[in-house]
Amino acid sequence: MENLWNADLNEKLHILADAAKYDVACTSSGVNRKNGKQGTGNTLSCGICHSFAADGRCISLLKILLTNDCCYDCVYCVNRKTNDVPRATFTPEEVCTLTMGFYRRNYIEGLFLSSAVYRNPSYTMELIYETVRRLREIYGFRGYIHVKAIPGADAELIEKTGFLVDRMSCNLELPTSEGLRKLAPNKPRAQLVKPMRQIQNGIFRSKQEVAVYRHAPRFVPAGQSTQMIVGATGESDYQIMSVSEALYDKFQMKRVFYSAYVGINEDSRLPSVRTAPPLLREHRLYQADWLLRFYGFKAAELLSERHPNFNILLDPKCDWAVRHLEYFPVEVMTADYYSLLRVPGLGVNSAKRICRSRRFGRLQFDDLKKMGVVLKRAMYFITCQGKTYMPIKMQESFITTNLLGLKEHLPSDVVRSGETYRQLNLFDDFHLSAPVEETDRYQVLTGQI
Amino acid sequence: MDTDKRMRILVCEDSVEGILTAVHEAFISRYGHAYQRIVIGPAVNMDLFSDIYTIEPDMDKASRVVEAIVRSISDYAWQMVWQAAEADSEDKGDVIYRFLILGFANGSRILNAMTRPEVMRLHQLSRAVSRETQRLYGFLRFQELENHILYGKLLSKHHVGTFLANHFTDRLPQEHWIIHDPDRDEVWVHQAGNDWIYISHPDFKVDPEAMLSAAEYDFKAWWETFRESIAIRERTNPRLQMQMMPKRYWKYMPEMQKR
Repeated sequence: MENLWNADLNEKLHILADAAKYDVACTSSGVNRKNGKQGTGNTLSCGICHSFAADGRCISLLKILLTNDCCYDCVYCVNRKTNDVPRATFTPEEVCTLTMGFYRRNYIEGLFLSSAVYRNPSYTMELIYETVRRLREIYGFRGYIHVKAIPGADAELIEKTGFLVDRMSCNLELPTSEGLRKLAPNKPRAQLVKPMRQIQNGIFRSKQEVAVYRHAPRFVPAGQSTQMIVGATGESDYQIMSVSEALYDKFQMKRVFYSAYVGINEDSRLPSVRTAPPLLREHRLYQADWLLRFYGFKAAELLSERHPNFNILLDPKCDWAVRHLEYFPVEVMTADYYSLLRVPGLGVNSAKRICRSRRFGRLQFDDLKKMGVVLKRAMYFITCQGKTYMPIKMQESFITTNLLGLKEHLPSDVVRSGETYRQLNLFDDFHLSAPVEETDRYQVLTGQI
Repeated sequence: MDTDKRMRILVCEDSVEGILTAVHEAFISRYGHAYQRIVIGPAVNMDLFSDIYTIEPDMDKASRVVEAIVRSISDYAWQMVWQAAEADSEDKGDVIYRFLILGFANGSRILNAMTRPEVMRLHQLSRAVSRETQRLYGFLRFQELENHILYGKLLSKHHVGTFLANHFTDRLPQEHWIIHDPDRDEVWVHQAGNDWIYISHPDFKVDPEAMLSAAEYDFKAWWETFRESIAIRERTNPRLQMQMMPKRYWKYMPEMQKR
């Protein structure tokens, strides 16, 4: 279809925001920058959500594509060149107008600029660079900017852009190289990894320079992130988690995002368009991702070749705990921080609070509750001064039954499909109709965790 | 404990200065902490066994208490006391008083003693206030008036206007902006390049709709377009949206208005 160079701004915004909606990384976190009395904007390292869309996902940045006029033909993508969709392209000036106008009204925290590959990667990257440069230098914008590094673009362009933005990301698209070969023929794995490595090295160098010269320009200060599609090809959760772990360890990624595949294109190589997006699986992957980053777990502890997928009915931490009862129960008065972190129902905050406050006196179960410990899960795994909350059999079957009894609210289709816990045959008193907890209910459906 | 000794109830104004002045009085009087309580005025439940003292806020006394907190507990403790004092809660005056009794005796480590009810309660209050502040950093909306002034209406449970004004002073230093809290009749006015000014006046009435700039209509329409386009239809989840962005904040958000 014809490219709408001269379309009305509203129409362009509609097309290019719609085309950007499958990009997940709408976070504005990771860097603190005060304003300093001139220009517009600052950034907070905790990030700020400005609104929430109808799907419950946070809107923090003005997330748009510069253009959706793509010369590639990735099978899963709505903008593949063989699709008949309306095409549009923003001018750098238009992006600046929108960003500044939205930012002044406190609609957004900054700009997230991605793009389809227009003509060739370097040309596209040049356009992105020009937009960001204009925003920073002419408009004096000091808010958050996140851009995509276009794989295959000239390394020098990526370098120049990196000194202007807060975060850069380069999408891995699919967890395995076979998947990529099949679905994204124009994007070989090696080409995707190259800019990631470049950004990583740039960040490392920049940190060293800043350590010596405090005012040296900062390269991608909020770090880099990446994203992969879950459910388009046949990988197991174990494969995905291993890839994420490698990305965190070897590329020092700030975040890896998972996006449940939403069927758009009908193609023999893809799941049917009518397949619902695997939202619960995505949720379990995010839960496990947190375990990797903040709880000191390794992918190989959570999953293995023999146990390649997460239990859909239990969260990954509970699932791990009931299979490793030899570590439990843990005594809250004496256990070290990392043992506490491994207890289901305890998080980073509550574990820290326990460590700090137990020096002032004995903790009771009541105190734990006030500190934010989720006792209904934690009670099977902890003791307070040598006593459990109630008489408990330290048996996998007993604890699993009870944990499933208070289960998070699972989507009705999962319950109806009759999919049950693998070890169902071990015990007869398995029941799925117990009252459910309201809070977990909606988190289960999304990546909002 | 002397059972015949009468209780003193110190009634103070609902503000940081008010509460801290009452704390100052309570310590200076040397009447005994067990026999004194701090209550937020003006309405107080009278009872036969207590004497009521009304404490007028005094900036000088309050700032001496602040200095004492920073000196003998910690800077962080003062931040928490300040946040707790802005909370929408009946018991905050006495919670702060009880916390400071413990804090002056124990120093900075007292913040970790979460098994003590007054410390736990202070944590809860300050967390509630900082959470709402964080939310409103995002949810407050400005409208541009004809003369390029940005006008934002504020609706909040806790009294968070000052925190917001500080945030936006750093964020938009080169803009003229006004944050207006119509329920509390308070206004924070910022002139480009300066610090903000606080005005509390019951007659501050503005009808921004009558004097919006021309560009304002465009940007509102574009924002609406953007918000609608960015949602994925297959994942629609209004309950989650409401959980993350409670309805009480919707009143002044242009995108949440029904057409």
